[in-house]
Amino acid sequence: MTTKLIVNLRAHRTQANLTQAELADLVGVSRKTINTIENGIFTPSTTLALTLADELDCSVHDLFALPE
Amino acid sequence: MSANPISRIRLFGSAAIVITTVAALAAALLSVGPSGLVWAGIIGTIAIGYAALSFILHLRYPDAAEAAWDEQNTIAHRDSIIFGFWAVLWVFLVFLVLSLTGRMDPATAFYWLGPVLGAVPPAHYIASVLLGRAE
Repeated sequence: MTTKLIVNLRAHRTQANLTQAELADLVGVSRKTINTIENGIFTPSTTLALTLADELDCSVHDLFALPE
Repeated sequence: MSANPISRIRLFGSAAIVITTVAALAAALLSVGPSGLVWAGIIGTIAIGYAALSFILHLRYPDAAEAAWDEQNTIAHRDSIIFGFWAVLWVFLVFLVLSLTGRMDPATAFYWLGPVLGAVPPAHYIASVLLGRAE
């Protein structure tokens, strides 16, 4: 399945006043990974999606959504 | 350029292996420069030096190592290995045909499979970095 995700990570990250590098440090990945997730190039694993949601104090559904 | 020391040494090490191998191949094709054995020593020294430095940096910066080997970079690395496997298979088939038709010495063909095996995965990884799919 190659459905392109709708990614709202950037909005939630900026709302939390975090840079890509700061969020990357918090979840233990590279800044490039955060960048490619935000740009829809890389789809994170369930574990990373849950970790990101946990750090940004929101649900995975807030960060990622399927197209209508 | 990444600020992560592990990512940096991985990129520089990969580039050094690829550049040296391409230089060795070019020198062999043009019949200039040192012998193949000397080139093998140069490529091997660079590869072992890179591996040793990378090992030390992994011990020195464990947090950076975790970030450098996050899931995206691990996937890019795995793709490089897969690409390397197919590249070596195709090069082997080409060398086999050349050897069977008498256009290439089997010993030379066997010798050059090593550099291809060693240089293609790092070349693929560098391409992933340049395309923004790895760090």
